[in-house]
Amino acid sequence: MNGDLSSFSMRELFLAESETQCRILSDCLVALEIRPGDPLLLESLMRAAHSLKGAARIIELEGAVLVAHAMEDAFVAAQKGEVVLGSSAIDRLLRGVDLLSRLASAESPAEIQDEVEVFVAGAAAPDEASAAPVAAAPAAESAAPTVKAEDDSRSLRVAAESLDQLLGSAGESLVASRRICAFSNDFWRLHRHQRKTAATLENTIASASGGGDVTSSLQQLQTMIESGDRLVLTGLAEFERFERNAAQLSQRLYGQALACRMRPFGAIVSSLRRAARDTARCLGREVSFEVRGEGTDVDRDLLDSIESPLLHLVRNAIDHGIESPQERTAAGKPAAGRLVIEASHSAGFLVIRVSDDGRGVDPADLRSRVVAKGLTDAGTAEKLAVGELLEFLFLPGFSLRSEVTEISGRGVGLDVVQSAVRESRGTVRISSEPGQGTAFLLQLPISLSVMKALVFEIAGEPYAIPLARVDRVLRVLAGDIESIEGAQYIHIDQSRVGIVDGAAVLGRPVDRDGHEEVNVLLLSSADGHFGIVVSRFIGEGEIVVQPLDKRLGRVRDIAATALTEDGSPMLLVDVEDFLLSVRRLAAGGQIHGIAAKSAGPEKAARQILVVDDSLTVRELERKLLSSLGYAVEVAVDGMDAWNAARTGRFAAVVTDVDMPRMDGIELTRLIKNDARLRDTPVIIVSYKDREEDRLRGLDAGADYYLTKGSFQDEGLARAVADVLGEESTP
Amino acid sequence: MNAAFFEREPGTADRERWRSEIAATPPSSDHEGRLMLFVFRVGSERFGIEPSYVELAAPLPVIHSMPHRGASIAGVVNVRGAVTLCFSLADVLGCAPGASADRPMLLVLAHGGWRVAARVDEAEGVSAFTQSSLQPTPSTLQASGRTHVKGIFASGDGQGVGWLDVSSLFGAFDAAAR
Repeated sequence: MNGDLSSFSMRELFLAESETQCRILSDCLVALEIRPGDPLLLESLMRAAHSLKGAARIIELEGAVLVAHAMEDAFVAAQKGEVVLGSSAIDRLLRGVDLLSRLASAESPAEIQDEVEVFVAGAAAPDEASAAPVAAAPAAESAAPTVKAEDDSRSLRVAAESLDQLLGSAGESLVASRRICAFSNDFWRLHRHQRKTAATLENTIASASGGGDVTSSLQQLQTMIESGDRLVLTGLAEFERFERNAAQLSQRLYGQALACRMRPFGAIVSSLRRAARDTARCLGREVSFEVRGEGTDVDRDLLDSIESPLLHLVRNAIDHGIESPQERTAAGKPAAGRLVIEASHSAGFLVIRVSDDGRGVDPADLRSRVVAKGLTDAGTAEKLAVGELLEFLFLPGFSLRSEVTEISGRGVGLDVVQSAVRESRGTVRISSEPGQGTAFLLQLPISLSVMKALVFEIAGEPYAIPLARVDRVLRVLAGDIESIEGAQYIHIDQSRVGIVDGAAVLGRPVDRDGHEEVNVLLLSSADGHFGIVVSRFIGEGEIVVQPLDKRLGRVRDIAATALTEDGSPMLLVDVEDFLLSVRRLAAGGQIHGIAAKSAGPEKAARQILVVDDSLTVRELERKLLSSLGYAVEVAVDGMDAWNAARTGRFAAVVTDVDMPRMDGIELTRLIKNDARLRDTPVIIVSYKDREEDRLRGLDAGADYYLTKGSFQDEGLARAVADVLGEESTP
Repeated sequence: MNAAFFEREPGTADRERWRSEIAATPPSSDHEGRLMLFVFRVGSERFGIEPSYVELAAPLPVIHSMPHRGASIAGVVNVRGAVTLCFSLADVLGCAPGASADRPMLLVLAHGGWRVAARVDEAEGVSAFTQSSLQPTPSTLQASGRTHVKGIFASGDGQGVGWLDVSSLFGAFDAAAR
């Protein structure tokens, strides 16, 4: 055995153990604050610190030994009643937990040696000594969650039960495969029997042609054929039984392998609980933190990626939502606010609800802030519904607080939450009752790698779409398709639903042959239903999603790949993107008639691409430019815009700066560095109005840099007219 | 009689020895110092590539096209269960069209940790080339700066074989993917 290798694996084991023990320490410490001196909690704490100390000693992690030892001493002293662990002692001990998890994962633990010494000195001091007050708070931030090895060789922790089940099934499959041998024996026996029968037949024919009596031979032959048939039937029955078992076994194996990817939602609860506790203490709030659905299974990669948005929502709820105890008492509420996180599976999705019973969002206040920020004018703001208004909270840099706070005001806003959730193919919605509280609803796929999907064909090739996103599938008689102003629609439940040929959306050859019936896939988005015409439906089932080649970047309308049952490749449709393309087609009047002749090229208005991740801003800009007679297409972020812009059909691009996936600066740079596109004017419209922001935009090659207040003063209209070399009214 | 010998599981020591022997073999030249190249045809042109970069050559499977992408991306194919990006070599290399393919093949190439598939019109297999028959690429091609060929081997059986520069080819794949 190689010495390096073995110490490496010991280190990994320690990392795994420290994760478990630190979670226990953290949970119990937070609980101890609520039930001071609880002997059971102290017992668990003492045991966890003791185990960690022992483990750290084995791998000679001296710093961790010291920290764990100091903590153990503190718990023993508390057990004996020598000290009482109050809130500030718990603060200190929690910092020790952070220190331990950093020591476990640090590349060179020596670097944090100083902090270890400070901690050990402080922990030895009796209560209320308050060594190193808030200095460790940012360190806590960088603690446990960052321990994420990116490479495929990472080790995973799997519940022993899952692994045992998987191993059991794998063993069964091994035994089952040996049974196939018995079938080949059956075939050999049958073969020998056939040969014997053939030989008997040959003899019979010979004696018959010699004129002899063959009656008894024929009877013998009949018996032989019958027994041969019995052999076949017995073998067949056996084989069918085997086939059924094998199918069941494979299904089970697959399910169990899948279960190994899952972890309970509860695995991230302790860091959420901890964040709630720290934030509440820091801001002087009282919060009762409640978690429901800790056992809900979540894909481990997904769990990793939602931890930080959830942490953010927890801090946000306590900072912005839950009032101070005095305020609450005055409002007739209990002094302690309630923060509830609830995870559940619903309709094929993982749904996580983060709700508080705090002050909620006051629509009037929000409205005035939106106007004050120059996001829209007072008239438009008045017309916005509450739901639309709440959407503004997800804009970059939009904070309800005017002063920057230590907790929520670190330059990150709800936009970070939204882009993180979108990255995991999920959505986040907000609802709020003034005075009653606020709730965030996250809807996410249960697993990032396996999903139930509907498989269908477009232009002769298979595509899949998440089943949960399909409203209905139907077959429509060609005669039932009507059209209005060139757009085609069908009647469903007394409402008109526009239909689009899926092949046209994907830029595939459109089938121009008339059919009596067409297959329609009904999808819905926030702003209505769409019918997508597909060549045929293949079926539904679970598909294993494989990512697209990373170097391909993003492909419009396509989220990932998978294999069909017969092993052919297929593409998984990105529903949000696809619906966007459908709307784009509809807005551009490019919806081709189903089985209709393609229209001649139209004399089109000049096309402008509007890029902004906020629906509201996008719509404002679209309306403004459309009213000036331009044909407007929209893109939701830089990446989306780049995919659209590279077609080279736009006369100008109007873009925001702060967007997920690719920002406006990067987009501008790409356009200006592309030989074909570099003459396309780019206008940046941003909230950032500092001089350095402006220079950054212009350096990237933007032709104009406007701030978002420009909607009202027609700055945008003038800039567009200017870059297109037109009079103010095109 | 020898069944027991042939059917026994190779031991760890055997495997280690084989692995090191295979790894130590100079991958692309034979014992006479001739360069070994895997030769294939695209359109009317022939190319050669060091066999160590060719993971698999197989009859062309179903290719699923990639929406909204240019002609250099043929689509995606299933390579032993992994959905793999497939390029049209004719487009990436800018080959003149040639005889239609009777036996189109899929090559799976790997370089620098990236595995891609490519559609070719015919795979001829591995041939040996002597360094002395290597000729420089035409100056017109060099001037264009677009060539992925290190040189051209004159070939007895007709048309010359362009010796592909693997890193340049993968650079072209990378550019075509974006």
